Amino acid sequence: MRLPSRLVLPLLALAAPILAATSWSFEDATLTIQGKGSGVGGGAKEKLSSSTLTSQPFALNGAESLKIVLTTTEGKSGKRPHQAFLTLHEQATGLEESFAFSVKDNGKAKLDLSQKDLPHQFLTSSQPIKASIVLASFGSSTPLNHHTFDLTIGSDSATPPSIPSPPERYTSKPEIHHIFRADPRSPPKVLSLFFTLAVLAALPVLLGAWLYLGGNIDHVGKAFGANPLAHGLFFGSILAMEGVFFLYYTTWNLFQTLPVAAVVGTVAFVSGSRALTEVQERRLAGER
Amino acid sequence: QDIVETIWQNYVDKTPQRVKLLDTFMAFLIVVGVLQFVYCVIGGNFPFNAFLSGFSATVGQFVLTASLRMQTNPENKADFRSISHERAFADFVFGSLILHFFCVNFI
Repeated sequence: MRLPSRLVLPLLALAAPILAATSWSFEDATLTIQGKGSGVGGGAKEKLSSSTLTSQPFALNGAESLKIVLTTTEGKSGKRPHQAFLTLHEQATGLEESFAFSVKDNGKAKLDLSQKDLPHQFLTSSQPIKASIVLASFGSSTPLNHHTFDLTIGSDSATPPSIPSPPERYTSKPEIHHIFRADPRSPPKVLSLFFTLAVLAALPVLLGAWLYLGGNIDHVGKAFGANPLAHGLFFGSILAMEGVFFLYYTTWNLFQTLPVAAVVGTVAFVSGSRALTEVQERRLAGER
Repeated sequence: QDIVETIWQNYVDKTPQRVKLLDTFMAFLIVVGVLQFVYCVIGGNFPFNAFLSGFSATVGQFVLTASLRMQTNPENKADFRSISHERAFADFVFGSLILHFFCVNFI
């Protein structure tokens, strides 16, 4: 339907008051503070108004629970707003906490609060806490933010307020002074000396035992007589090999050692085969 | 007591002289090994690799001597027909040199 442009503005002017008239509000609001275990309807009921502030603050102590029942209205009819909160605002620190009403479609809403629902900062505040009822929704109705009453939180004398531990903040921690384990130390020199001498003393004992058993020293002359070069080189090369190992331990590194060891090893192998062949001849001849 | 005596007498009489030479060498190695171990227990095992290389030198030498003894023992001639005594001795020397090299390296 095409409205003539001349008529649109007057029509809107007529409609505006109707549209701007509705606002969210609440009615039949009662606040009850119930002590623990007192049952339904035990506490004192107080009426809350959507336009004025109650004269005295209410007290919520210890294990008491606070119950608010109201009916949210848009204009004149009870309706369910998109948001219905009781906002508690602490004036000293500016901390606010909101608690949502559970609202039915016809606008009836209720809320239960107790001290354990509140942030711990509320429990230790010195001033009364402002409680506001906040109603808002989609559409063009004016929302409501009405400071309805004040609340003082009293501490229960039996249970002291427990302040939770401060949250973990990631900053630099104090410096750690680590005490390192002491380096391992050698045993006392006397002990080492004693054992070294004991080991060295075992050597003459061994040689003595060999001699006692008749260590075939007399074969040396015959062996050298038959093939002196082979036996000499063989024995000498074994001693030279041990010498190479000693030099490797003291001064040389591996790359200096290996060529020398290879040379000495070859000498030992060749001369050894000759020498041992000679020994074998003597053994087979029954002289050993 | 008597059994020990008999065994010892049997050993002294019956074993060939060269085998006894090897046996004394093995006893010497055992003594040195025990001394090293006792020293390690008393004095602590710092530096540990020194103890390991010394101890393993005695143990390795003992093993090589045992194999030489096995191969040159006349009683075992049937088992080691292809290996002459000289060959066994050459293997013994070769093995000992390699053992010494590794122990010197590790110490």
